Amino acid sequence: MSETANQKRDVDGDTAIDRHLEREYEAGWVTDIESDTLPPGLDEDVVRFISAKKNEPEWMTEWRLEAYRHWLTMDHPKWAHVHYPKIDFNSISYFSAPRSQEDRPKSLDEVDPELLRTYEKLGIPLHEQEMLAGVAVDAVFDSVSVATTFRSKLAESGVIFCSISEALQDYPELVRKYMGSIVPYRDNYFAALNSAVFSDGSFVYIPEGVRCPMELSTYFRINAENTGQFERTLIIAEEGSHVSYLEGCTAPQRDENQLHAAVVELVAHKNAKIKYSTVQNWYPGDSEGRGGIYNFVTKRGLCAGERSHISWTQVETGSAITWKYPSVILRGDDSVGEFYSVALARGRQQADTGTKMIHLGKNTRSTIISKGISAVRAENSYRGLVRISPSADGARNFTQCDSLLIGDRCGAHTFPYIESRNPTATVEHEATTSKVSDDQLFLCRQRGLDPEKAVSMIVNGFCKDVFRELPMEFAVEAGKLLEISLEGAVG
Amino acid sequence: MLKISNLHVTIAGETILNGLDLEIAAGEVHAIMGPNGSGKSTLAAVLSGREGYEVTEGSIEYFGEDLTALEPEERAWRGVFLAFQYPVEIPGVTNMEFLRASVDALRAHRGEAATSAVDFMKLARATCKQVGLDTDFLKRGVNEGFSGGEKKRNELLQMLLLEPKLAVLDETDSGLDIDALGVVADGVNTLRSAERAIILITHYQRLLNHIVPDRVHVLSGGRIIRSGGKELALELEEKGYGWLTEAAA
Amino acid sequence: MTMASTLEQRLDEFTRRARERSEALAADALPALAALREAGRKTFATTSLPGPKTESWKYSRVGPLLEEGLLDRPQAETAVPDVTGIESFDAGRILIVDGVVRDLPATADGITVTRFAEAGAEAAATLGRELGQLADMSERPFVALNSGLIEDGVLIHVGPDVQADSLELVIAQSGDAGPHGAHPRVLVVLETGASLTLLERHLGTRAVFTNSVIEVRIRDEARLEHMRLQLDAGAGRSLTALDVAVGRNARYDLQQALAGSTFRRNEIRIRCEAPGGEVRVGGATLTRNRSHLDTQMCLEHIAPHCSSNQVFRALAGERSKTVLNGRIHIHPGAQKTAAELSSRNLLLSHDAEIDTKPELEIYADDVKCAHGATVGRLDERALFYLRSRGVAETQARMLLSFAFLTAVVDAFPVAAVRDAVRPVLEAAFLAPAEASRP
Repeated sequence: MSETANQKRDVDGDTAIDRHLEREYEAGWVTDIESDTLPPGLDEDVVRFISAKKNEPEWMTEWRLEAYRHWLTMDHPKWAHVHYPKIDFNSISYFSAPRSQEDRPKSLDEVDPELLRTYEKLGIPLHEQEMLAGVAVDAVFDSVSVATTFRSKLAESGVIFCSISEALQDYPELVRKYMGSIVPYRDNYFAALNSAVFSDGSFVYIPEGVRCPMELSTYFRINAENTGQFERTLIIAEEGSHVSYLEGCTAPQRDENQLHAAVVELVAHKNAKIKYSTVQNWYPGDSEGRGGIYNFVTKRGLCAGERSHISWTQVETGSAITWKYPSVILRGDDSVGEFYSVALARGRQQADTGTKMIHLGKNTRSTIISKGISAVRAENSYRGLVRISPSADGARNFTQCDSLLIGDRCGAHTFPYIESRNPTATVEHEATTSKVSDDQLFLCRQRGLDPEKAVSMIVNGFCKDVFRELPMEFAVEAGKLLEISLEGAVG
Repeated sequence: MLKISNLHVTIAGETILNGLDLEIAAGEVHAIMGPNGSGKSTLAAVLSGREGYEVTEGSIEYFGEDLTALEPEERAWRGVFLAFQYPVEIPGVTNMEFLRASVDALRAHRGEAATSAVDFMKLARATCKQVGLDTDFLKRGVNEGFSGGEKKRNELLQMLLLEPKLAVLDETDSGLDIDALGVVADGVNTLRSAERAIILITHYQRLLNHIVPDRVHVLSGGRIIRSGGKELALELEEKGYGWLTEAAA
Repeated sequence: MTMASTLEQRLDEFTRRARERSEALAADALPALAALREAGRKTFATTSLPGPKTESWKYSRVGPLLEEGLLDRPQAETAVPDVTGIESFDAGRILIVDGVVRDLPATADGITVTRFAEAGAEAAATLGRELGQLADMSERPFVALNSGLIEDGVLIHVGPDVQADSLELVIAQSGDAGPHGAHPRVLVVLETGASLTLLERHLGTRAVFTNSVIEVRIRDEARLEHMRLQLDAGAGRSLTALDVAVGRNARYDLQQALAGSTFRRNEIRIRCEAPGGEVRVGGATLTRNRSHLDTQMCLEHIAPHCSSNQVFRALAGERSKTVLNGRIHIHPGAQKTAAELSSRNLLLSHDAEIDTKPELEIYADDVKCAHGATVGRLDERALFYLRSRGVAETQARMLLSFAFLTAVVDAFPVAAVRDAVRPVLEAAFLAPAEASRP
């Protein structure tokens, strides 16, 4: 009986979906720029080449080599709810740099104008005078950092914000002390690979008691073909300091899959607070699942000191495959870990994302809010671990995990692991699933909203608890991104 | 304004409306009454373009245009408003942003500029007062956790802000206490004007004590079996529907 | 550590002995048994035993099952232990001791309860049709092991529209058999419109490996009330696979009261195969001392318009460990499914561990699915309320903890069983902790 009505809707849905899939990825163009790119392939010489190219100290080269050798002994992980053909790591080029970067520019005036235009096109003007007040940017193009703005202004308050390559030259002891301390190269397959071949990334150091005077941000852009991007970010917040860091990502539209395997390490000392926000919009591939970025990222923060606070907020709309679990190790007593996530997967996208909250200290608290949206034929999984150690007296966790399905051919999954070994701790986990109901859609349309606007409004409402956590400019961007990503997803 | 001729409507193959005729001119208020299952709500759904209802025969002309060819939002842009019998909740979307998006969508269609946030806020607050809703309701999710009466007031709030040409109230009076009924009636009465037509769908006569209709129609078995003036409603109140439906059968 | 004691070598040794025991079986079985044995043997040979990286065994170590002698056959004839049942629960008893069928109730009209080995023509046909159809062996080496070693078992068959009397299935150990492995096998078939109340009790505290497989087919409009009691703690190593298929408008109600033992793991898979199926699952679990209890729950919603509701409550004391994997899988097309799972847990000691993993895997959009899990403290307000009325804190804690657990016992459909379970749980809950070895 009602099946006829359903079938009819399916047909309508299809046309709308088709319309939607014809949409182009807005950041999908390629920058025509001369690059120095290593031929594809990976061996110890490649690792040495990257290290030499960056003029790294010997310990760094050795560490990379150890990581590489360890990586060789590891197996590709299979546990995530994602499917993709075996990656041929020898078909990837592990280093690509815009040629004009051979001698790093001393100021923005020396940056290749083509590169500056790339970032302008992405809506990220690097000229300081054009910048939104209060946001400093590190721009990473393929394998290297091309520009970091507002450095001198930041230096006035003692904040270090530069590329990790520069940090290795200028602050080797800081890098040596912290790199790999939160994510050791043995941690997992992609972390080991990253440790061996990472090419650049951002470095942030906030001295004791300093509240970073502006938002810091990094924009990552993969441009060259057959290139992997392996950046590494390290943020250290000394006692009583505060920093808010934003990360954005885009890539050109290509038929081949490209690998992005980043590592992010955060350290928050006593009373320090780090807020790390990501809007990830890597190229997701076409409607048949051709091309797109494999986004295999290890992000972890250590709440080292008492009352330290690490907050991850992410809006994930891009990538063919996302494999990402920003985590917090709550070691300091009374420390706080937060994870707020919106993950939208459409087309043939696959996302397996979530978090780990490892409670070690007393009275540690964690909050997890995850909103997953699946549309068309996508697979979207939340995977999370809450671990309460015997030492974590009075620890508390609250997790809310909601899935929204748009269409009957997609999948929405929830895999929460809860491990408790302390009787004074409390853990609460809730998960629900829902769809954009016909009644909601009809109410909106009866009030004059077209279906796309209606769906986008309903989905934005669904994500509100997370968007509220984003810095203002990012919240607007995230809302828009969601709207663009959803266009036509419902008939 | 609205001319419904020989309308036949089926839901999943089952005939619900079976040759309905109805003509309404601007400035008029018509009441559609009838027993449960007579097709009253189906009429409201078909006028607003809900999915799942198939017009198999007949026509609906609205300002000379074939209404059935239009999408729900296109009807809304042309001034068709439905006050829902069971308003749905939309978690996370605040009433305020919903109302503004809606009002701006209608303005855009009329070629008018979008409202300014401040002006709209003032207007929305004033209208809230008019329908007896605390202005806090503007910050809450659409109908989220509203009581039955609050949902109906919220429908009225939307109607007053959208200023429709043709308002269809689907059992807006059901489940309301006498005070709320008065508020709804006052709201509807303020909307009465020479350019506007109103269809009141109701099971009971009591709403019509507050909103005096120009015409009363009795719907049964998917067609109008009797039409008359406001006195018809009183007669129904006294005698029930039996005498009419039996006579029609 | 000597080489001989590595897990890998013990797994290999176990596999080799299992093959030997299987190959030594007589070849005179029923065709259905012979076929299943062959399939089990093949599957077991090609499936690796769970190691530290096997996801579904993440919180259970296979070690206690690999100990010396646990693959041996039980002694041919052992004494029948005392299996006194529940007072005022009148039920025909099926008794399996050390894996051997020892006692069966008299057959009534429309109900067949028979040993596989003594199956008549009709029962043999049922076995041929159903045996091994539900207990999927892939990725489950112990189900394959049970199948590969199958010699006998019990068929419970309730004919169409027959409202059967209650039955009791007792899986027990004898008092005098040394370490051995028993592999009980039960097949329950409820034909269209049939109904049955089944009480399943597991008894025994000795270091015996009991690897049971129970298959249940509930055809259209049929209903099964299934109560499971595993209340003996101790040195038992018990692994029970329960695979249930629920037909159109059929109903399955599984209520369990469970204690841990040296090793106890229940793998439960329920498939809603046709529209209108209704499933209710409850689990009250109490682990004390060094016991271990692992419940692997999987609800497969294959057909649309079915509903399932699962409630688990667990208390873990001393150095014990309770594991729950509660998976709800909504297949493509299973629209209008309503599925819920709630897992609430209390740790009673600083050395106890609770691992709970509710999972949702959803491939249909018009569904209502939710799960919730908590691990935590007692409600402080309730505690304060009791104390303000003069109840001492320890007493108040005990009252509240126990109330938390027995809320699930209240869902047992048979009052006599409910009334019998409560005092057993209470005694287990109040018993002093065993002196733990240093």
